[in-house]
Amino acid sequence: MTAPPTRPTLKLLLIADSDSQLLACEALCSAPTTLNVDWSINVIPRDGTPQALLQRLTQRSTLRHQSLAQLLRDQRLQSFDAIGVFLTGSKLNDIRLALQREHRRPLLFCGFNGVVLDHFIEGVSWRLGYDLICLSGPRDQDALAQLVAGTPFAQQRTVLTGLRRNAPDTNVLPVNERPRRLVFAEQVIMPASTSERARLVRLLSDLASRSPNWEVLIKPRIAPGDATFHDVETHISTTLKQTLGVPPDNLRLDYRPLPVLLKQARLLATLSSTAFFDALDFGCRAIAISDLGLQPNYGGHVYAGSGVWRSLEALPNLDALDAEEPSPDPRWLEWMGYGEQFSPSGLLEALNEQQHQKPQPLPTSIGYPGNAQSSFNQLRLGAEAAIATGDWSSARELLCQAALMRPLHRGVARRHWAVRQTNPLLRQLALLISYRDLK
Amino acid sequence: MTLLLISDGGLERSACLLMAEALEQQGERCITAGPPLQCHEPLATAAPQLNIEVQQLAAHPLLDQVSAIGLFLQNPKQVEHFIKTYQGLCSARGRRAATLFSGPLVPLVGDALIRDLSLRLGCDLMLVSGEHQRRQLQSLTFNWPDNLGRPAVISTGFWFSKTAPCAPTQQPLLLALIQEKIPTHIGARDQLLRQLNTWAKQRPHWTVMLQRDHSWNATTGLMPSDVPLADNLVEAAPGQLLPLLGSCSACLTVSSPWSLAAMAWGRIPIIVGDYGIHDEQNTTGFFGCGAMHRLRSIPHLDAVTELPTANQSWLDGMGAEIVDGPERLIKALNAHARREEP
Repeated sequence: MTAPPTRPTLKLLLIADSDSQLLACEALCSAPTTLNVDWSINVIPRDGTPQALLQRLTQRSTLRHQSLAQLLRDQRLQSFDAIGVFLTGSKLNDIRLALQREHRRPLLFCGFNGVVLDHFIEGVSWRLGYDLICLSGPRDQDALAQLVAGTPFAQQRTVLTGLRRNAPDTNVLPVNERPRRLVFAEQVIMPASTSERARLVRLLSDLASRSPNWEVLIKPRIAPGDATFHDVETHISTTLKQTLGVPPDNLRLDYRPLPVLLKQARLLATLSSTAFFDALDFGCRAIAISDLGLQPNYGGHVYAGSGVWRSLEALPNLDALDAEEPSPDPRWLEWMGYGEQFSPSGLLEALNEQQHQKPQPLPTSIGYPGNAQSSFNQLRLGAEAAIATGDWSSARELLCQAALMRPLHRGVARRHWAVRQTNPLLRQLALLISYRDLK
Repeated sequence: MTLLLISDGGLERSACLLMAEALEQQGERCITAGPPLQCHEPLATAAPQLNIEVQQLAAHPLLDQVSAIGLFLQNPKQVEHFIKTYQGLCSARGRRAATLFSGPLVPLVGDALIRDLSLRLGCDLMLVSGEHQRRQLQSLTFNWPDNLGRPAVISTGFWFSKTAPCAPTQQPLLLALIQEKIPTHIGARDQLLRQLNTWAKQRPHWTVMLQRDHSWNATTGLMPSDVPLADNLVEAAPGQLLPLLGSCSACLTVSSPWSLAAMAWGRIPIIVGDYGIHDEQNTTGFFGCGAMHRLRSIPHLDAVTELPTANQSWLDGMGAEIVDGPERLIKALNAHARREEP
């Protein structure tokens, strides 16, 4: 009698802070796979992280709540096969540099969530050197390939994880049997100006008035008091009041989770939210709003090719739009990364394949410093590490560069003055006075 | 074909004059036009044939006599404004508009490139620097509907001459291209200038020249007043940018586009990498140039001579490989004219 073959096991840790990053972690944990994955998620504590999301995550993973500094000191990090970092900017760097100092380390991968509307080059430059960078689809892969061609980073590995964030649900009504309802997926900073946000609300209100047999629901990106990656100046509920005074009866805010709304709606409209693709997951028809024009800051250039970039103002009413059965161009969907062939399962397979290979360090060539050595925070952390070992020369150099970047930063100026003191007693005193715990 | 080339800044003016010269060599007639430049300019540039404000040009009868108009304005929003005015007037008068072409001249990438295109959508033809820009625009405009009026895009190479105006000087010369608003952190530009002064003091056999890459008015110097100046550190006089780029041994900047001339002419480039690869510092465009260095990795000026030249494949992609820009432009204009024939 032969024993049944055991499934390979992967022990994975995901690190995230803001809600959008945690949503990406949730999608990853939900990916179908033939592997046996033991999931842990470290949620960097932050005010306003939605509790409902944290509760959902506890059902799929072991949840931890360590700060980045605590986490990087935690020896248990070495026990994971791979660590996935879903953070932004210099924090991506801090983790990679901290772990790459170790003789033996887990594989490192990082996310680049959703539809990247801008700052792609900056974002990539923080991620170079990870063993695997997750990208949404061919669009991002093509942009990265163009960027690194002919540079020492040309061998950077990537994996396409797609834009399908929701597992297939067989329990949804056919779209024509659903209530006549349009969901508008709000974004906190798109559009950014008060006048454009008011204009968008007015467009929705007018459309609702022209479509009295429909319900138009505005799904706020966050509830008042919750937080996301971007700071919110005026909540959409305030914009609604300030713009309309009294909205039409068939237009209202709805705070229920997006999947719940999408399963019970025929149409979704958004400027450029990733909710566009969530709608398709739930069999809801999606359109992107073109009324604010081709503003790259708001992602207009990305959605212009969708085949469903539509003006709300030009729609006679929602019955007319519904009768058209709008459907995104399949070529565009594939370009963006929405298709069966792109899935987080691909990441798990790639990690499983790579876990027995020795991770490669970031290539270092003169003339290509990237962002890794240019993070203000990283310079300060590096200086603190040098101070701890009494390496005064390195500490001086690192703080000198930090002072060059931010000459008016008083903390750095004081610390720089302290490490320049040659009298050990004076230096120790100055270090004590200028000490700040860097998170 | 008669072409009207309109410019309103030093870089744009010099590019138009060079373009006009090359087009005339190809047998085309060119008229250069634009307002006089009032400030101190880094480039010594001849006046255009027609000294006139850009706003007045849009309604000028001269425009009825040209077959194509090239718009090279510092602010691409002005391009959009000009096109709307000019096309509106043509339409009201029942006249066919001349072919409009425009472009950013300097190589843009990513967000800056798509933002620039979005402001030039009314053009018939967009000129970009290199194949890298052309390919990026193809990706960035994937599947766009025809009704968006996307212009045809051609790459025409750099905006400056292919050969340097002079050879490097025997004595070492570091040319520092100082930008108006970059680095953006408060006080960072002064700190960079102090570093240049320190380097100059350490190596008296070098000359360090501070060259603004933008027009300026003030008579006050660049260096912060609290710094005793090194004898071998000097500020460049107006109009000296091109000869200094030709005669320098090395050229340092955070992200001035003129550093591409130093690269193309084989001088040692130093793109200051201390401020990272960020859109706000305009350093994203230099990703992959192979010439980005942190200041602390350069102990003194003699070490500069050991630094590599630019990554040639990157430089080629940005436009260095293109040697027939004017011919490409004529070909594209003729092709457009054939398509528009009734």
